[in-house]
Amino acid sequence: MSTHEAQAALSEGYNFAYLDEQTKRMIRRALLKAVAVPGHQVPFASREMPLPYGWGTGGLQVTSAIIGASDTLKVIDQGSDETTNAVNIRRFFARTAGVATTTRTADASIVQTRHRIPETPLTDAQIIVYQVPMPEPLYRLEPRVTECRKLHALADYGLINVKYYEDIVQHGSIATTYDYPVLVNDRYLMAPSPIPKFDNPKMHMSPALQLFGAGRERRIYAIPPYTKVKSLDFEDHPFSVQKWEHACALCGSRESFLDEMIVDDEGTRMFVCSDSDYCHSRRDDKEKEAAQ
Amino acid sequence: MNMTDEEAFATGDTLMLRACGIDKTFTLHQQGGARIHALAGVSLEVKRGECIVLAGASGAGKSALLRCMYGNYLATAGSIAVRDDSRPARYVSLTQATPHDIIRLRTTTLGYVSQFLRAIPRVSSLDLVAEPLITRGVDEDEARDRACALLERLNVPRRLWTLAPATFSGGEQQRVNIARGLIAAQPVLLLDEPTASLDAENRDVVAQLIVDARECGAAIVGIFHDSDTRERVATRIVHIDSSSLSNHDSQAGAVHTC
Amino acid sequence: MNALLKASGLTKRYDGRGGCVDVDLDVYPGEVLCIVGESGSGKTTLLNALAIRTGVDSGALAYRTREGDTLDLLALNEPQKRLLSRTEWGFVHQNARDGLRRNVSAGANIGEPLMAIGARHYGRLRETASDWMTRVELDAARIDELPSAFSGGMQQRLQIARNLVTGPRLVFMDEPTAGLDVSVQARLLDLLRTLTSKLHLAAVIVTHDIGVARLLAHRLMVMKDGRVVESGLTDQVLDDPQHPYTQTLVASVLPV
Repeated sequence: MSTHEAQAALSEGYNFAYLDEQTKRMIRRALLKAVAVPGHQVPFASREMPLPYGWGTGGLQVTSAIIGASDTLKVIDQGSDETTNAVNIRRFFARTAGVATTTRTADASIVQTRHRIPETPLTDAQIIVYQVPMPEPLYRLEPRVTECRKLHALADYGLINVKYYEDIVQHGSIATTYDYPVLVNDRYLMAPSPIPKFDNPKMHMSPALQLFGAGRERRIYAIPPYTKVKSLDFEDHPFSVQKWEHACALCGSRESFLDEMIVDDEGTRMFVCSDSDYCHSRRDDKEKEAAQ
Repeated sequence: MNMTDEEAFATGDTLMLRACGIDKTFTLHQQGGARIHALAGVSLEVKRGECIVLAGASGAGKSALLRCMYGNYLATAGSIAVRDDSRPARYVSLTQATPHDIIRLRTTTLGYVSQFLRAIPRVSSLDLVAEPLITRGVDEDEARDRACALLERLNVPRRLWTLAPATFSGGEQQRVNIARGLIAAQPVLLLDEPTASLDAENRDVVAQLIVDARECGAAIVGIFHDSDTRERVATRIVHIDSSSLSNHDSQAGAVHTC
Repeated sequence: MNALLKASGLTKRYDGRGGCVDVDLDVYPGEVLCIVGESGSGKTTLLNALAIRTGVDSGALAYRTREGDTLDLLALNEPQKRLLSRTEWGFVHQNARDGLRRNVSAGANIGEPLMAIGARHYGRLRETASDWMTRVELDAARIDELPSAFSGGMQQRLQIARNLVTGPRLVFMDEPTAGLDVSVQARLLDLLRTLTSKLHLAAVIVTHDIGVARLLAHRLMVMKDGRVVESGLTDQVLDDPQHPYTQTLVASVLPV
């Protein structure tokens, strides 16, 4: 959607990007703190949003606080621009901020995402905002919030290794396949949100600014550009990403994260890129090549 | 006994233990504070190569004296000094020592064979005898070998070596006890009736062991109830007299040497 | 300072009552000190104060590290305390449940202290855990079972292995054999005896059972109503008790 079209969609009676200016300032202060201490969870006064908890209110608030009239916004959900969630959030910003929106990663200045990092590498002119359900990576192992805070403060992360040890005992390998905890800047243990572990390497030394918002849990955290991000593992069971035997049925890619789709009642399967824009671009490029 | 301990230990290096004016009184708080006097004003000097046999009537305090010298009883009055050449004064006061120091003394200098085997349960006799060597840093295998040799010498049947002594006869227990007490060859040995339950043949073996230790320079104080052993091992006999225990006049000494 | 751990005038009361009062003690490398007393004697408060698991009202507490530095334990901050507990100390709870993680395997329980200080090799962690299970006389084939699959006495052995795996110099034990069947107690005591002597461990053991003290301890401290009434060599305190309370205690031991 172009800026002009978006302006037309702009609704009356809302402040720019929905949140009031003081709230945006509060969130920006939290973001600055988060960027200053990579991977550390900063509490913030999460606001009521016109979206239920669990649907991306954190990501929404972060985007709202940073978006400007000249920004171009892309919203994806599980890699797709066309799911209900993605469509609604994109329309939300069209109505309240009148900003241009796009489905092309390369054209966006802000990408808000649920559960995936785009395949197209991000640049230093871009910001990616992650929607986070549970910001605490130790949540399942240590239910006490006070104790978790102590563990983070003391960099006392032996516990997560205990979990991985148990995984290897029970499954032969570390069983976590998404929301795989990472150590940021050699200091804080961080939950990267439920992105597949396939995407973890993209966070390491990314030129883009990575912001994380958890609305229900009221936490914000960040990874500044070019920061070391390491996925935890054992020396003799190193971190590895998922691999497929198939290529994407539509664009032929062997490097992207593939979704498995059941296409008919006989159970016929098709493997397709999860990142719809990436797949699209590749098909376009192929067509152009074929045309030449 | 007019010298100070310092002087006594400084002259020559044969003096190993010096007890001066030892009193021992037990106060039985459970029996309304009744007091039992076990020793009064006992003094004794023990030199290398000596074997002093304490003699006297039963209840005269011989055992109590040995226990005071081991730190097992707290002397009510008096002092006990033990040679310690690592110190400038060349002795350490047992009666003034901290428990930690006494532990060290027992490791380096003082050995004790009690009258009854207070065995640690469920430990084999071989391990019991090897233990004093192992805790002093001797290699485990070597310690075991030496323990075997000693048990053999004391005629403890081989089949008993792997068993815990709780079911042994009195004599067998006593021989394990003796082996455990003598194996580390400490410079001062305190022996409380080590031959009480033994037959003549074994008494002989034990007596020889004691003589061997004595001839290697150990300073020994022992209580032996049978005269044969006494005659073989003793270089000096000291009588502990209980008749003077009703008063605490230190002049009464209660010690006669012969 | 020669002593490994030294306490002077340690006092910890609860609202002016109970706890321990004006306790002096020292622990030397390789020596086992037993603190004996009945319920309410303050022995557990003292143990927790010595292990800096609880604060004190007054007194001094010093510890000599592996490098030979003397630390003022009462002035340590949280990270320093944790590091000390991880690398030089162990704490065996009366109840194995309090000292183990119930939802991870035996191997993970034993390996955790190593992981907490940076061990990151799965294979080696497993080997070490197996080795320790054997040393505490547990079947190493059961390394992947949960603690609940083991009996009480075995869970206690597991707790001991977990505490000893980092090679501590000083181990605190709070009634380690209480609540176990008598025969199980006996075997556990034997194990503790062997381990403390083989590993040259210093240990402070709280117990109400004089038999435990006689078996394990070089030195003994008797507490009553928060105060130390007598202390000295174990054999001396038990054979020649001076204080009326100690005499009562010794006389009360049931003869076998």
